[in-house]
Amino acid sequence: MARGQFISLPGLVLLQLLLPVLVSAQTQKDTTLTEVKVRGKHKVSNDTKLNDFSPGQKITTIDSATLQQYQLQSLANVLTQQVPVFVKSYGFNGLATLNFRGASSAQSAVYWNGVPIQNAALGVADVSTMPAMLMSKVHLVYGGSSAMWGSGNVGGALVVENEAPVFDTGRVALSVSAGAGSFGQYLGGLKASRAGRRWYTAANLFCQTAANDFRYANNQGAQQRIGNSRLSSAAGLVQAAYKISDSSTFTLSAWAQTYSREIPETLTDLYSVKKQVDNSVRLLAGWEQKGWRDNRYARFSFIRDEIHYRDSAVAIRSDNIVHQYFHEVGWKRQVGTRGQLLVFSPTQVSWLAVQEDVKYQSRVALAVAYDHKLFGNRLDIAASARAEAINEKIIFLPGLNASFLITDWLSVKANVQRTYRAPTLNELYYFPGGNLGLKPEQGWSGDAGYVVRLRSRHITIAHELSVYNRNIKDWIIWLGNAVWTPYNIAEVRSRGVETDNKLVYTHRKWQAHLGIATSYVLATTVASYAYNDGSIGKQIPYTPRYNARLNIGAGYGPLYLNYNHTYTGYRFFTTDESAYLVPYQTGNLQLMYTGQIARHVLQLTAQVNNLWNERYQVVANRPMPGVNWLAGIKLVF
Amino acid sequence: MGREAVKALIALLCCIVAGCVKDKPGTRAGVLPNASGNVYVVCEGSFSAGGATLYAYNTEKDSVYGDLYALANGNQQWGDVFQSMQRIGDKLFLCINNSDKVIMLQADNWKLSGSISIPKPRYILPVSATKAYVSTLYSNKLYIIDIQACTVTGTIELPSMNPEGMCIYNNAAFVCTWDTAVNSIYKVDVTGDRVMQTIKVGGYGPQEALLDKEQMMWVLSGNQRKNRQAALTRIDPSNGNILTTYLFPADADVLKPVFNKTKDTLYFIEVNYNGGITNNGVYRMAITDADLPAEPFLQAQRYQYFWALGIDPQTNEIYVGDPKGFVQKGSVAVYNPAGVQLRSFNVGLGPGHFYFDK
Repeated sequence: MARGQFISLPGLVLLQLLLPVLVSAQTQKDTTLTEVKVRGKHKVSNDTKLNDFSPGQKITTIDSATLQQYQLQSLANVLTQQVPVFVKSYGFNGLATLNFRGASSAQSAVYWNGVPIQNAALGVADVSTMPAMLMSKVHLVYGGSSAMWGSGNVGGALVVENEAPVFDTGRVALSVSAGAGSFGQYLGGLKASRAGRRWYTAANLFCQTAANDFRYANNQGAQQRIGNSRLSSAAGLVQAAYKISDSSTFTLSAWAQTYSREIPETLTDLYSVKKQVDNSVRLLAGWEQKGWRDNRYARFSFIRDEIHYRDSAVAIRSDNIVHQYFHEVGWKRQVGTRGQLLVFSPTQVSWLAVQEDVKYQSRVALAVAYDHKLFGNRLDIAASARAEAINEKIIFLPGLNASFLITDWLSVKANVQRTYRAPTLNELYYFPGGNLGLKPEQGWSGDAGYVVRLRSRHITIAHELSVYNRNIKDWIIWLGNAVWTPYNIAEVRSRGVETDNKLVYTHRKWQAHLGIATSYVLATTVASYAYNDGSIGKQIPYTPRYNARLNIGAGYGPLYLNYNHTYTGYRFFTTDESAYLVPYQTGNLQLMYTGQIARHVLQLTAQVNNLWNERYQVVANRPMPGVNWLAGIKLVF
Repeated sequence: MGREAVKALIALLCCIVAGCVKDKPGTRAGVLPNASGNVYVVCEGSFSAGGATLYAYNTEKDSVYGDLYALANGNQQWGDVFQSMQRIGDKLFLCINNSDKVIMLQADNWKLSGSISIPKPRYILPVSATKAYVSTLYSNKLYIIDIQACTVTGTIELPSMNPEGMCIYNNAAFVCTWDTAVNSIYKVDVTGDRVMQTIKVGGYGPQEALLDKEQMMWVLSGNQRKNRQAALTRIDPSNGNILTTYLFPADADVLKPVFNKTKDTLYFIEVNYNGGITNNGVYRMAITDADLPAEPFLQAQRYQYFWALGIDPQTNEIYVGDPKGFVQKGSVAVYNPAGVQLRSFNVGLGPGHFYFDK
């Protein structure tokens, strides 16, 4: 809805809930109504927790144009290049995990349509195995929000979503994509959907194969081709939704994928024969009923994750198979004209076979969140509380966040949360190395910031700054050499500053943009249980203090060009800062053309990664490829 | 709008350039020690992540030096896991286990003089003036190398997996195989390079063998994580008879046995990986003791365990290495036989062995 639009009072509440645009109505004279300013919030997500009960949290959404550009790549690539969250990548064919605000990968949650999808044994999600093509919305939620999302959400969360089902349009959509790139990469995808009167069905399929045999400089400086690097994967996500009534919908989603990869040698290996196959099946059934004043929902999920790892050189044959059942029921009710109440109860049960035994972890929670708007919707405040039973242990997780619109262009926000992470099944029971004596990580986190949004006829400026602080006691770290064991170290403090800045200029068919996002993280050990620990006051490993992303580009009609530049600062890989990797910068160029052939939409994409051929490692001894390209074509029927 | 935009842009630029802590760490500098009087510290590095280093404590200068290989060879790294080292003639032979190589350094300047590709090398035993054996993990092979040519000249296939610690006695090599299905060690003829005899010991998974002052052999066996109880067996190597067997508690993980200067007292480490202090520290026993020691000679603290143990054959000083979880620089503490700490110093990642080259 455009600024200045005039509305009636009876529609106010409904508009707040439903209008998917930033609304700031200007006052106008009317014979029947008093002056009203309507402020709604852009519905960033399909999930009410993000939309309605997180006004004070920093949420970054990857826009659809950017996702289009990366449609043939993994989410790891999207996040590495587009947001200043550190993605700890072990290189081509290697694990890639998230590091939010100095949190460990196990403290960074990943949700798919509201369901936690980290491997329940490891507590982490490998974003290199998540194809961007399968998702239609990608959000990054910064800062802890354990009261809303539960144990494990300490540093932040990656929230991925599929398109919400639509009905009655009768529209049938079909698109086919294909791509090829350096190092023998071949990729293909298909998207199809049909929106009938009562049924909505959609399918996303993606497959790829790659040799990934790039050249790199070994420790003696000689160029050699990396070995044992083949990759193949296939993923499919199908959805079916049935409109039970105008207010009630039932959805069923199934996401299955297999990811087979050879693990290349490191700079210190002579060779590698390591192989890993990741198989996942994720099933989700959901029901939602939207009423005039209240909504109800239920979702049920079953996930099976398999990791089969082989290294015949050292006689390792590891099969990690973990299951997770999750369900959540919730009820949201409008309270008066300014309040919303959400009551929900999630249950999660995970189980893992360990040495002819099965180990369980159950989490049952009851949570309440209340959001209230005051001063003509300028103040939006949300309080939440969660009681969660993790096996026999009961914890209480409160949280409070708010935003305040000082002027039409300036708002401030703040968020305070208790954070908590229970040890994972692997941390407790992995053999060899699991530690039954582990305590949960817990503490408090807080962040605050401001947002400036200015808009004129041709120019839009957005600037956001956030500062945060988090103290975690009993931080879990894996120690050891051939056999690793997790331990608690006494306390870690993380604090930092993030900025997100965008400048967009539009004029007729022209569009130009400049975006700069920066992150400064100090995550240091404050106290330790270990004797004579050299990590006190030192930065947590693999937490770059400085991280920045720049995007600059322009579009003219169907053409879109973007240059992306990333900077990642020093990463220590010992806890006493005695060993480190030097900073690196990468330049990446993206070109997209969207046109028409007959009645079909044709989209061509081309991307050159690591344009300046930087030699770098994200993780020690795992070389990354030099300049490489990827080209894709998409035809929408 | 114009003024507001300028304000916002100024704020934006301020934030972009904001930063508080100098990001660049201090640079490393170092000098090399004298070629004599060195106690080498074998620092394993981090499994699959490199970081292996060679440090030296020079007793003549009372100073610590490292990392010698990088200093002498232009900052090159050699990988991980640096398992053991042995001086043979004027060369130092270093087993880099996970990087599948044995590298040779000149003993007087630590310059790289060669490398032999051997899968998962663990220990080297010189058996003649021209020949040495290299034990290897995850195979049943003992590699025979030519010391001068730095080449593999053959292999000896053993009846079980994971050849590990070795000991020379009367022109025969006694080889342990750290195989949890096996409770024997093998006597190998070093002239014909063949297994001559299989000798039973008192526990499964034999790891290390060493001789006391009476020329009796002590064999440490066990693999606590694979439910093989640790045991020490004293055998007569001349006939293979078991003299005494000492069984450790089931939850004790025992490693790195060494003798003192007079070879009448055995020292070893017990490790508790779970952060507790029971069965955790350096223990010692006389070779005539009937029972294992109940209390540690040096107690490890909570969340600490020791990983390296050595005794100076000249001074009888006891060197103990703390790997500090293999995620930061380790430390070494030196004690006299009364248990009084004499000195301590920091070394590289994961100190695992000491080698006295004095």
